[in-house]
Amino acid sequence: MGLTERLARAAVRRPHVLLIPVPGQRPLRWVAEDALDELGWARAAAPAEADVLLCCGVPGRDLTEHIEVAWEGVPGPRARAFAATTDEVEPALRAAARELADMPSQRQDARTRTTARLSAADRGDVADEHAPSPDDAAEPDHDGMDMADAGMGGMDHSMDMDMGMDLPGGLVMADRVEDRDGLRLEGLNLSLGPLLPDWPAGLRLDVLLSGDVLTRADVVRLDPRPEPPAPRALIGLDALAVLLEAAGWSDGALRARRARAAGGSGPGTDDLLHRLQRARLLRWSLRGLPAPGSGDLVAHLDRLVSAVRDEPGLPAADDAQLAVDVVGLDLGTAALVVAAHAPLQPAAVRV
Amino acid sequence: MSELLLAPLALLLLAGLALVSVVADRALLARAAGRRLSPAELSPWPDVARLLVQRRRTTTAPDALLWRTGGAGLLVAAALMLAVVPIGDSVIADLPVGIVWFNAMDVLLWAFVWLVGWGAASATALVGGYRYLAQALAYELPLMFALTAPAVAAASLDVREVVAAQADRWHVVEMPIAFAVFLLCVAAFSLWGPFRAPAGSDLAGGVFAESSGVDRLLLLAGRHALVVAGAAFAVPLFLGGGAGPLLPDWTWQLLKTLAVLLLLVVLRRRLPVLRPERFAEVGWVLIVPLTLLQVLVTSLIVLAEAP
Repeated sequence: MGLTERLARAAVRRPHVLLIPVPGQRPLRWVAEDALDELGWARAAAPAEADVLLCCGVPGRDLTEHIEVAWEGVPGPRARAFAATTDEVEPALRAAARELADMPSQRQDARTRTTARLSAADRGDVADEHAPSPDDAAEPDHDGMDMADAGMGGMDHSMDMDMGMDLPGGLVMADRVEDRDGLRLEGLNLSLGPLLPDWPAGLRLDVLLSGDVLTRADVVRLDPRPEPPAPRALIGLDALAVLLEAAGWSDGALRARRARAAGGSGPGTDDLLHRLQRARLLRWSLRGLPAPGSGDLVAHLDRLVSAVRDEPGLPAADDAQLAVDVVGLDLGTAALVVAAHAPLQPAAVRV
Repeated sequence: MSELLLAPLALLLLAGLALVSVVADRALLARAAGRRLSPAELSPWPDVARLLVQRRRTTTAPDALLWRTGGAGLLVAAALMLAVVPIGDSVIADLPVGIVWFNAMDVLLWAFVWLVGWGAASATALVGGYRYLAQALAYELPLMFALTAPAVAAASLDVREVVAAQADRWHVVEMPIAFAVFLLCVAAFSLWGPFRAPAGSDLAGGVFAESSGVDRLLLLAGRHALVVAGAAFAVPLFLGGGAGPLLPDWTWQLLKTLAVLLLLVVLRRRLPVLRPERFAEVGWVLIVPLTLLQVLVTSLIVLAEAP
């Protein structure tokens, strides 16, 4: 057995999986997250970190396009897995691990990919997100890519740009726009999502970025579908898990997911709620940030805790409000605010 | 000890301690996830193998030279920090300004981490790089003052003389604030635990977002090596170096380094990420005055004890 095969066999013991939530398929995401926690596999934050793409449900047409772009960004050895029902999640993961260890087919995959990418670059239609055309400043570019896949082959408008200067990779200088401080900074059109960590299923945020500050935002829902009903306590725990992960408290998020897997009650849940009461640093970190419904994210955290205790008051996600709320925030903080919306249903498609 | 053997030994120790930090971290993770602690669960080998097998990745128009330079820089900076830490009674680089050297290596990290963000030519990585600089603005002055306190007490910037000055009393006794702030700053320059915002998941991995394979392995190993180097430097500065009863000097030094390292690993899991813009306020309004106060107290002690 060669060294590569031996390495590959060790490597598949702990693959990193990029979970792709599909609107309307929340139970699948829950099962997938629990399976990863149980197996000790890691969740990838970006395609560059991933070995496996796991699609939790059958994606619609728009989401599929984004998945293809992300798939191009997975370095390889790589495997793709689809689960249409909750029973299929674990077998799909195991099949993906087998595929990762199959060196001959991985080599074949690598060979075909290189040529594909080269030819795309030769045609000159591989554009980076640094390439908004002047009109884009007024009209957000809806053909962008996930922010994690910057430069990995998203189709942009570079072909019909006439201000093309000779910059590396056929990129074009960003245009300048007014930012919140009245300075004229470069404006960058980016599409954030839907394949970001702690991000609502199928949500895309088209933003205009000046430096790292969002100066305009539009919320787009890809293939929207209502989520199946679930007990309020479980939805609360799920929302807590996503928010805590986004706030960078992975241990708390893990506890919330375990409490969710345990059915939303019991010692794990009590322990989590107790810890959240005392989590001063977390509350200080969330204070003053806009939340779904009313109040700030600290108030939202308390609402989620109440929901876990099966008290009513869980707000609906409000996309119009979200688009207003994130303007003026920096990229990371905006992602945190979006994460607070993640597991909530937009009122329009509420069941 | 032969000077020739010292450098390889230090690098071995660096690698060994970095592995200890990885295993300890995995143990805490497994416990939080309710999985059984087993050798297979704790072994860092699958993670290393995964990154060795994984293909390197590139973006549309990367600044490849600077990107790779920054990526390798974290490990290099950690090794260079270790060069001024006395092991037993010898030291690789016997600089009269060892403390300043450590500080300079930390400032070098500003460039390296930012270059990793810049080189990838991707929005999230670049924002992550700038986040590191923003964070550095908040922790760098406290770190400098925290380093000043032991130097003032020993009236020297030579690390070995700082150790010698602690013959009667460890520095941590008279400068607990400087010690605590130093540990915080070690976490901060290592993108560790509450200070990992520049590589945060809210930026889809930030400075690490576009790296894969060996490049990523270098970055992650560099991060662990930096924490080890910081822990190793805390021992001669605040914890009396190799001083201790019964056991030989180097054993005590290793044990103390391990203790500081494990403290940093526990810290990593317990705290949420401190958002850089919020931490900046704490850094300037609270921590800078505190460390200044610490230097003042230390100076007064030095004056009072002067013969």
